[in-house]
Amino acid sequence: MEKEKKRIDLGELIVPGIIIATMAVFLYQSIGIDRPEDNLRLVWIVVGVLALSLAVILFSIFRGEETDGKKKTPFRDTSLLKRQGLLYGLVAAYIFLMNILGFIVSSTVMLPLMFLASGVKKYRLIFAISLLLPVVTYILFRRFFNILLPEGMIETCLVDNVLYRKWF
Amino acid sequence: MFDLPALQNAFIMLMDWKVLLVIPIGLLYSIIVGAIPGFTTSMAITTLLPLTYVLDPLSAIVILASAYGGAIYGGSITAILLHTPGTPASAATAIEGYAMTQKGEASRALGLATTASSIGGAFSYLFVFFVMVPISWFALRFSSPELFAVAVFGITILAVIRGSSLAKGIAAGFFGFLLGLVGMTAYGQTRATFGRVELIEGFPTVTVLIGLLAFSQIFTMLEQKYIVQTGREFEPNFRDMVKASAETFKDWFNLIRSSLIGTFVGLMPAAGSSIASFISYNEASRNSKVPFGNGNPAGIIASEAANNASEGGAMATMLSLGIPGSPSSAIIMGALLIHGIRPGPKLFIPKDYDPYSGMTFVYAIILTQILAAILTWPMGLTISKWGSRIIKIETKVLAPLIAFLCVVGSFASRSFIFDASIMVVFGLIGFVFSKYGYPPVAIVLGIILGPIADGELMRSAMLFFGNPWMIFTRPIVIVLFSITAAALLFTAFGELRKKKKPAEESSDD
Repeated sequence: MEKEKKRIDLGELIVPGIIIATMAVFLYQSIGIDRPEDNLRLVWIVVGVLALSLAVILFSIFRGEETDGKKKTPFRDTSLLKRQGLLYGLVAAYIFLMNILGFIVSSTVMLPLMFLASGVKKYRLIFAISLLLPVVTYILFRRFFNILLPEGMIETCLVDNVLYRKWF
Repeated sequence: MFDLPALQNAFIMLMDWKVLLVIPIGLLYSIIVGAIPGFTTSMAITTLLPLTYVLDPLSAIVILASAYGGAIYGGSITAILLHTPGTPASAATAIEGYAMTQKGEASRALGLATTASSIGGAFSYLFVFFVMVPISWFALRFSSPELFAVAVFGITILAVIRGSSLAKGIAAGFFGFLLGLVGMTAYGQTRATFGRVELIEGFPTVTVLIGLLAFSQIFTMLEQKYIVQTGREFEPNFRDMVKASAETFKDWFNLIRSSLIGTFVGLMPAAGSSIASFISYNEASRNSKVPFGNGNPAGIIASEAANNASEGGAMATMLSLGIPGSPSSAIIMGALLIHGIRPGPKLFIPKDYDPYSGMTFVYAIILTQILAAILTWPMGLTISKWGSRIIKIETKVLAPLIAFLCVVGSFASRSFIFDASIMVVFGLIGFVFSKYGYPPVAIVLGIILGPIADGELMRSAMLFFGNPWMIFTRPIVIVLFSITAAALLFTAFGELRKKKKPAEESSDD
């Protein structure tokens, strides 16, 4: 293990930033709690976690941390980052659309886009998976697990269909 | 110690082909369902519940109990192959298992997990078989103060799940702890819910787990062509799995210790299999000479033996005291009630007109579950062998498929679109945290332990009229806190020794 002194990397502030922001939310919320013992305990916990995050910032940023000699700076490969970002955005959009269009339609629309974003170019495979997977999953969940996935127009037709009723 | 005529009658009851047939059915179904991310053990059992209406009481409980063990084991398959734990109980398995998969040792990891699960399950039921009455007495001594002490002990696990530095591991763990406090308190107040009904019960553990461990992983996956690191060819190999099974027995001390931990944690109401696997993983790490986190087989053995052993403990508490130790045993208890059987001390008293009563019935359940645990081994290995072919698929094809499963799984747990949104947010948190060396598993641990510690402390305070310090008047609490202090000191000395060694080596040079 070699120890290295390093300059302050702004990226290293992201995680402590998330932690501190979460604590700020908790502190803000704890103001509204009526019972003083709840409030006090929560404030103590928040203060404790705050101290820990500050310790992390002090130790791992200013003092340098133990590395095995092959330390990499994250998020340097911009093309990969774009691909990851695109896929992430598509999944978020998929969830948003699912609420509006229903499970089957949103999956059939978004799955091919997700495959293309991650770099798959076998169009037949994309077509087959995107068409079959949502329908099979929907029927499996509804029939065997008794779980209703978000419903849209197609799902309603599928459920009302005589053939579906006869088979399942 | 034994009621021999009852044992004899139990064997006769097992001769029924229906009872013997439902064991593999329950196992097969639950291993597959348990492997699907988002499908918890209790969901696997619940979906089998309608089938039990047409079965006799023994077959009904046997199929559900077999599904209980099968689902816990099933979660380890995807945890090892895709870093996607099927159930929260396999979160600790994912750490070492996935590292082994990346090194091209997936078959070995699966063999270890299958054997440890099988042994852990069988051990716990055998243990329960011999000492059912005294352990249920001991479990009854555990109330809020003791459970709080157990949760505090669980926090020491953060020393093992440390990421790139101890401080980061602890920070991530306490961040999770903080998130675990969201929702309704034991006093009935809501905290940090922003008026969202979906958050009243806190962040759903399954959804958070899927986001932090599975969804975040697909972005890391895209960094390489195959899950198995470049240059290492992987071919699912049955022989390697069987060899690994033999290897499991060589680590017999770890296997027995983990099974014992699992059984005892399972006995405590509300503790659960995920805590069992984390505590056991922590103990294995403390006693290992080889560091954990890079694919250490001992970690898989510890985690899998403990989570499956917790099943026997939970069932013992449920049958002997009528207290369900976990959500899954609560469902099984519900099924028993449907069939007119009331678990609790009176279950042990035989009724002349009822064959499903007395020790005969209890022995029959225990014996079938030992058989189910043994059957997990061949069935698990066969399913794992076929399942492990998945890692031969390119990551660019796997990533969207796993994303799809993550969305469906997070929705399925409570049927809220909101949960799928939470999963996506936690996916990003998990990805960013892991990139900067903060272990996402530590957040999961915090989210599991946070509400337990907080809730039990509040309940303890209520128990002692507002003075939580009174918990130190209870002997078991003092023992548990002493163990926690000893574990922390042991870790601190270990750290110091590790730091001294390189310094001495460099001075020698």
